[in-house]
This record gives sequence, C-alpha cells and structure tokens, in this order.
Amino acid sequence: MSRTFKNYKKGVFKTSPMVSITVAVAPGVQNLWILTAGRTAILRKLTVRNRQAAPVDLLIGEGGVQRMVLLQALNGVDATWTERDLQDWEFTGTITIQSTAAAVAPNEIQCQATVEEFQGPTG
Amino acid sequence: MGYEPIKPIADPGENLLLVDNARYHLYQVAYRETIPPSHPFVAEASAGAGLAAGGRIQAFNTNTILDLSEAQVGQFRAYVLDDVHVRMNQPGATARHSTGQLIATFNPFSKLQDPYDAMTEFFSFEDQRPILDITNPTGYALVQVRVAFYGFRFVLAGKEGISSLGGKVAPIETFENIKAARESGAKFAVVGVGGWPR
Repeated sequence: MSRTFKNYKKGVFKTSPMVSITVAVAPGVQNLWILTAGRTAILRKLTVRNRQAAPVDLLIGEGGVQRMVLLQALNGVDATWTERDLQDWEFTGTITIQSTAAAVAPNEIQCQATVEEFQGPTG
Repeated sequence: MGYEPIKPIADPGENLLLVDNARYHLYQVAYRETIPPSHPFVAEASAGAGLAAGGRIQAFNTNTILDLSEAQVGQFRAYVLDDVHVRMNQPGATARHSTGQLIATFNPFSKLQDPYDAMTEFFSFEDQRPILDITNPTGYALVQVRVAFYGFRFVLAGKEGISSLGGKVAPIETFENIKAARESGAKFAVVGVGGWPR
C-alpha cells in the first residue's frame, strides 16, 4: 500500500508504547506499532532519544521491510519528526523500527510513535 | 435528521407517536429538559476492570444511566471515549442500527465522520433502556471502556394527564398501524422506542 487518499480519510490517533532498540533482539527489529486487525495506519509522529556516542540511522519498515528513507537520529539531542516531515506511507502491517548501530545497550535508543489508524472491515 | 447538532424532537404541547412492537402510541409532551454531556452520563462499562485485547462485554445494562420514570421518554445520542465497538440492543434481543445481515456500531471513527453523533440518536421509553454489547477490536488491553450519552428528557401526558403519582399513563390513543395514526388527524413526531425486528 503506497498511495494514500489523504484528503478523504479520517483516522484516530494512537500513541505507541515506548520502544527501546537493542540489537540483542535479532536482527534488531522492534515493533513500533502493531495494527488493530483490519486497520491501516500512517506514521504521524516519531520521537527518538539517542544516548549513544554517535548518530544512528533508523529504518522504519513494515515487518522489517524498509518503507521510508532512513532517518538519522543525532546523539545527545531530542529528535522528533512530525506529520510535516514524515511520508504518508500507509502501513498495512506492523510498523517496525531498526537501528544501524552495531551495538546498543537497552534504553540507549528510545523511540515512541504516534500513528493515525484508519478503519477497516474488521477494526 | 442529517449530520446536525441534536435538536429536541418536540416542544411541550406537541405530540409524540411512540412506535413500540409495531404499535403506535400517541402522547403529548408536557415538559422537556436537557441532559447535557457530563460525567454522570459517562458509562464505564468495565467497572474498572478494563477490557482485554479482543475482549467483549456482553449485555452491559444502561439502566442506572438512562432509565426514566413512568411516561417519560429520552432522546439520546452517544459517543465512545475509548477504542471500542458498541452495538446497541433495545430491547435486549433486538439489535438497533441494523440491516438485514449487519449491525452498525458506535466507535471512535463515528465521531470523525459525524461530529454531532447524529447517526447514534435513539429514544428510550421509561425503563426500556438499551443494552450494549461492547468489543475491543485492538490487540491490546484497554484500561477503561467509556460510552457517553446526552440529549433530552420528555415528560409525557396521556389522555388522563401526566403521571403525577408515579403511576402508569395510558396514551391518548393507540393505533394498530401508521395509517390509522395519520387518519386520526393528530399532528405528531414519530419516535421509535425499540428496535423493529429484522
């Protein structure tokens, strides 16, 4: 699903649980938002705190398959991407996030998202 | 009705024709007051227990919220505050807002398409309140299950006046069919106070 008829859709906004990216979870893919069955979603806001010594690239995907251009999360600063910055990719599966960091301790990279969910035939 | 803010179905002095079980009962409105959106009219259907992922609350009784005294009818609209699907039965075995095979729900998307909750409007006569069937469509537990109501309460007068002693009030007239009601010459607004079986 790539094309979104943005002007015709109305969804409900949901906030994800806080997610900590760790490569200990092979291959480092974390579920950012698990869709309500039958619904689709667009990522509307992403907040990231990179507490490592260097920036990392974040890969937003659908079941681990990349769906957006890599986002660079600078270290030592708060990073937030909002609706103006993010593409309107309409996800039909679990929204996932990965980091390019080689080694990450728990809570070194914290992420939280707001999604807009759209109604489907079962949800 | 349309997608408009709630308006009272009738003014005092006007008539209501209540449709219940395929019969038509004519009453006159004696008094009307508003039930504004407010916290006493927010039902927490899980009673603090929350609702598990995919869970269901069957037969949630709205009696403590919507029950009215004798010869009174309520005109209500509803909206949800949590991500749940709410089916309405009135009476308990008859689904409201239904077609031949499907039953519509109140859900968080309802208000997005219909900001005035116009399509949720229903009427409840005396203690013939709706019974709700609530499901959690999400993959996570909800800590609260809230459904809110607001609208109007009408006190009705029958052929012997109002229910001043709290007793039953016979309608001004009962008709077997809508044709007879129309031919009676009375002016009225038609109000369904229970589902029409599918």
